[in-house]
Amino acid sequence: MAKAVSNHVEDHRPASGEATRGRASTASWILLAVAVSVATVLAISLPRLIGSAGWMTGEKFLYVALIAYLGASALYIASLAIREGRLVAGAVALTRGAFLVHTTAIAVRWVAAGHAPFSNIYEMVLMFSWGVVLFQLLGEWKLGMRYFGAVTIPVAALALVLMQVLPGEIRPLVPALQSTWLQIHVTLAILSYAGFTLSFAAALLYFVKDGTSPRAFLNWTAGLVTGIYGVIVLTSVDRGLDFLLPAWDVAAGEKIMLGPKQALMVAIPGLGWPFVIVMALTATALALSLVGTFSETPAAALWARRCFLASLVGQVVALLLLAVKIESGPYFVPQLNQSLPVRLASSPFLLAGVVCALFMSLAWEVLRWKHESIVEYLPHRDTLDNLIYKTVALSFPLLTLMIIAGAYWANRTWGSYWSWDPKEDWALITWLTYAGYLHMRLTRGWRGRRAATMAIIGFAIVMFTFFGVTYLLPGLHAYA
Amino acid sequence: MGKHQSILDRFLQFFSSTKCGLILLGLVGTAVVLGTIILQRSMAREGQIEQIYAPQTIRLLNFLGLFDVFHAWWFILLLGLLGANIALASLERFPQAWRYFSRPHRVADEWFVRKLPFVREIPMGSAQPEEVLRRAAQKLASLGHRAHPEALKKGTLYVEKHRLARLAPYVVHLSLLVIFSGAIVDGTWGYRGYISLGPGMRSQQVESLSSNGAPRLLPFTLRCDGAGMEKYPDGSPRQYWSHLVIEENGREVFRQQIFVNDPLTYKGIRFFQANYGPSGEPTKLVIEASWPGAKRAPQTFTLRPGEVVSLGDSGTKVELADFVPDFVLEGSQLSTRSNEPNNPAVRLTVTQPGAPPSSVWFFPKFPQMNFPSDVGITFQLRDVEMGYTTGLQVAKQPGKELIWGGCLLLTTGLILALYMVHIRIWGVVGRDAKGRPVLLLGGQPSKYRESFETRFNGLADAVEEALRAPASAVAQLEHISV
Repeated sequence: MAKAVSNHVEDHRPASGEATRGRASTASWILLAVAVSVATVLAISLPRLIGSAGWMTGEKFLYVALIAYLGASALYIASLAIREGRLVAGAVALTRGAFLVHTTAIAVRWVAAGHAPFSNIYEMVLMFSWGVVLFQLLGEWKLGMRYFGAVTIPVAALALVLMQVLPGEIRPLVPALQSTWLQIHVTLAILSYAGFTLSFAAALLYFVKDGTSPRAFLNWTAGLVTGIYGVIVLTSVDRGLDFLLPAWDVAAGEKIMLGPKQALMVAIPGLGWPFVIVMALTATALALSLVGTFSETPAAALWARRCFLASLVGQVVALLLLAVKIESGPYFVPQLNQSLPVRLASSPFLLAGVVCALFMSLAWEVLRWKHESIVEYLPHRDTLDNLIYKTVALSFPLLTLMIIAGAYWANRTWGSYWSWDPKEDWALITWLTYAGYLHMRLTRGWRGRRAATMAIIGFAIVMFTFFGVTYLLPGLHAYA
Repeated sequence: MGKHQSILDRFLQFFSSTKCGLILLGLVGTAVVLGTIILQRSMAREGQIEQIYAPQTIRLLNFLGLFDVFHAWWFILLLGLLGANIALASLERFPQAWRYFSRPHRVADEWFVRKLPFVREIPMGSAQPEEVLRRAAQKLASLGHRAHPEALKKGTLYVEKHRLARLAPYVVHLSLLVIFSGAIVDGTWGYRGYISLGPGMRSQQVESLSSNGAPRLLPFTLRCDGAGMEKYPDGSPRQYWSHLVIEENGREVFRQQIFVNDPLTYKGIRFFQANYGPSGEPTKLVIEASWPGAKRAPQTFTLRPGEVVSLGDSGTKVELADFVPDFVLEGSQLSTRSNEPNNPAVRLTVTQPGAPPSSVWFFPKFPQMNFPSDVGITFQLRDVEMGYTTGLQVAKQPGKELIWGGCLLLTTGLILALYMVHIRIWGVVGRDAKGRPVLLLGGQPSKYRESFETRFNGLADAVEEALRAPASAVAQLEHISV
């Protein structure tokens, strides 16, 4: 293939002279970033891991599983890029091991609580991530789709990261939850959400295989990361570049509230700037990347990539500083004239956002670094398209049964099978979306990118139904 | 006339199309999203909407019915249109699917088989066509694919699985219509309400759940013989229960203890344990009266609501006038924060001989707040026993059998539609390019071509191997097995 042409058209390839150096340095940056982020999680979790408490409620097992999932995620992603059998074998072995530990954590918690871990959002996330890994392992076994691990295992790991800050204490079951229908309803929910996660993975990989250039992916990745950091800066950084976090009541294990929806905020001095810088860098990367896309300017595209790499480093720094500064509290609160501690637990969305952005950025760097190799490795796009359909077709009846079981149970508890409660509404919206997908595909012959886009939108709605509704639109499903 | 009809035809054609259905799905979805983003009146606290939205916005949203999306006329209309679309679309396509289902094409010729998406030519040597078909059918049957015997007699090896999957979309659509009709029946003839009962109390009246609804009368009387809760060691509630009795014409006809998740059903009306708690009304107060300045020993007495107690022989009569269990002063108004007797305020009516009745307020937790009264008696609350009520949801759902039947049908339909694949395999004896006789196997799945391909190839390989084995060996094997 003519070098000049490929340079012009596929600008993600560095110019030939710098090629080796450029790739090597990117590679080492990525490795460093992965190592640093894994080390961060280890650093946050190790002090808690060593303590003796927590084994009997399953939490410590979960830390072990989390660390293994993070390692497996890195291996799965790396195995897409590097044709090395041992990487995949390692990823699979690590995932299976972590799955066993994860299962142990669930069993231990089940025994300790005396009821199935289905009763609050912490336990839902615990079971959801387990379901995702279960489907991944089943998929590897039955359909040989190991490459899905590059998406599904990071999702499971992200869910476990989020769990570290959710309130995880074991509570007895309130009367309304004491029903066999709870088990049926929640099991079905978990399985269908996990199934839709697989279709999301297939859809994402479809776009990679279908020749979506890393540049187009940069537009999306930079856009999403800018969005995440934009929201963080808007909501948590004040004018003096202090970072605002809710004050934490250590004894009660919850935020200190001033009013029904208003928490007492503690300003962490100087922590705002890394977040502002990351936002500025990714926004610049986004703007340059868009300029590069529409005006075909190689220089803009090149600087977009550099800005994004800098933002990735910035994200690692921001996450590290956040962890360190939170641990080194308490901080002075002028209103109360006293110092109060802060915890990440008060803002699960903050941690989820930061880690999610980091994962997306890393994934993009890997994609850009080894794009051709990844595309070559992935199966034919029709196979991926079929897998999207199969996983949706598998999960849709489960989703339907979940809604029916919920309705039946609600009718036994409240005498009403449908109350237009926000969680029910969003489950219905999810159902309508995938019903739309199935009709589009089966009767209108939608294939390829349009169908894949719909699977991605569907998954976003699933995630909103799962987490968003619980935090933003609470109703009858107040427990989860 | 032709033109008029063609517009109607075109309208019906569009209205029964998948496209129209998808548009309606999208509209319903959008409406539901709006219903969760905009605070609905049924979910809002008193005055909350006025607090959140500006007056103009409220007027606009009210006009559009967006404060009660799920009961707005246009939302019901959308659901109705969706139902009509599903019904029309299914009716239009069903006859064809039914023909396909009821008259399967079993007997095929070589030309037909060669046009199938998956075809395999299997050499058959010099064996007789009947013998080849018989042995192939035997092999396929041993692998769980039984050939149709009638078709086999007519020279076609025909294997079919899950033909019902072809009707699955119609089962799904029908089930949705059944669920819709159940909801309509419930909305028209059913109701939901609320009854609050204390122990020993009876009621025939069901309160409406909405603030402006009229109460309904039950065709029988409900009596509560007791209610209670069990707690976990940490004090959180474990279970609520009520002992309910149904009375007809003054006679007890039915009795059941209900729990959360375990309702009572009588004459199609169901009673659910919804909540339980102190009613805010005391059942018994123990009060100590003292006469400061007078040489009289304090006297303790028990006071029940509605009861008049005489204090000693002085002729002073005391009666409970008011009891606020957990008072809080809002301006000059006395109101209660909860129904628990955390911070009571008590008002007694004290009547002394020869004097008009006078009111005495006292606050057991804040004695310094007690108003100086002109009766010359100080009261102290020694003990209070609170009454409790059990809250029951009442529901009559004449359409619920339709709903659950529809749900069952929906599940069956979806499993048929998405987990089952209609597969067909035909086998006929034909000739290959060189004119030699071959067994032609051809197959077609309704979906999942990739999985079918693997399956088809596996079956074809097995048949090929079975045909390669000499006939005598097979005969011997058969002999042994007999």
